[in-house]
Amino acid sequence: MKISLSRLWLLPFLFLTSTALAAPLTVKHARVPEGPPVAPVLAGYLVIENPGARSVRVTGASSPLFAAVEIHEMHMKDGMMEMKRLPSLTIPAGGRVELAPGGLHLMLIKPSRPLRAGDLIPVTLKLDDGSRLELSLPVVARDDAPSHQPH
Amino acid sequence: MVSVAAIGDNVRMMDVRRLPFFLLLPGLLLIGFGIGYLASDGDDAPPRAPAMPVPGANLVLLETPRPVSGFRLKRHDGQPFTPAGFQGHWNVLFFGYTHCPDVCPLALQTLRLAWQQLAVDTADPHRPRAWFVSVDPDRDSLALLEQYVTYFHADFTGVTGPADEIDKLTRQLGIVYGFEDRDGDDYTVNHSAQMVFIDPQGRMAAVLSPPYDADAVIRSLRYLQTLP
Repeated sequence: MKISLSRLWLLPFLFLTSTALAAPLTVKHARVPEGPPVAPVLAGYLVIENPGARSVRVTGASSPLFAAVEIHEMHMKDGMMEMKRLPSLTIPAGGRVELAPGGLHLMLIKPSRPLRAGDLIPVTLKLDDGSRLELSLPVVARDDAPSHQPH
Repeated sequence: MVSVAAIGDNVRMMDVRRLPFFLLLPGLLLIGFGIGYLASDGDDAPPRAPAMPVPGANLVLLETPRPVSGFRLKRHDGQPFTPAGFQGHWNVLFFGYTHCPDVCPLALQTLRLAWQQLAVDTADPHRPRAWFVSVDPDRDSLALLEQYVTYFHADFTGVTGPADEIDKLTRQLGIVYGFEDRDGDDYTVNHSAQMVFIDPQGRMAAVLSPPYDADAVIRSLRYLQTLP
């Protein structure tokens, strides 16, 4: 056998390391309201909960179905709705962050094909500990999508 | 002209517990904005209607409807869109752009639900019209606008044109917008999220500020239709 048996003792540690690194985030109410087939952008909404003891920062996002995925925040300024790109999003320890209409959203930019209700959009969130959170956001019919997230 | 008590009552009716604060705050700011805007009108005529005519909706009436004039834009079917396009029916205008992920599709969806519930008859020449005015003509061609707007309702009309013509309309309606990081094709447009109601005589009659839902649009339209 070529593989050195002396290295095998590392194996369980490798496994432990990867679990320890994986952030304890849970995701709820993930959805993307369907848009016009020509829509150059869509919005992804979800609730991210962090039951863990340390805060977690989402440092980036991507999807194979979109040219880019960004974290955006809407807010009212001087009578205008302003949209701002956030470099990262912190989920406080024991807390939650809600991405919902009129507030935060995942900005899904330039879909590679039109997406219809029933489609699933894979999205990867990059976390500050180097781990990744793989999500699947269902495209939902607009008529079925509540504009306000129930609490 | 608008008492604080009226605002308080209105807010309470909106079931604050179910509204995230970030949705409520812009609404409150806009009420203030609207009051300031209308108060600066300098019109001494007595109010023709209560300050908060539609419970639960941030609808602010102009004391005196103001004629809208002097702009020349294009509808998504290529036809000219001028003040004459408002004549003979109620009009709801929303200003936005198609690269808008959140506010614009929400507003158009709200109008779609309202139009469905009102069972708008597209054969009726006096039916209300919904106009989606793109303030981003460089990216929003008429063809793109048509596909975008009619996705929400076959009777909705997209409108755009040169920036100076858009500005002639927005300035009269108190709508503001601006571009951010405009150094290429990836930029965002900040814009007012109000719906503007224009009466069948082509006069600006009222402004509905967010947060709004289909019910608020329907009750606003019904209320406005009862006015002399």
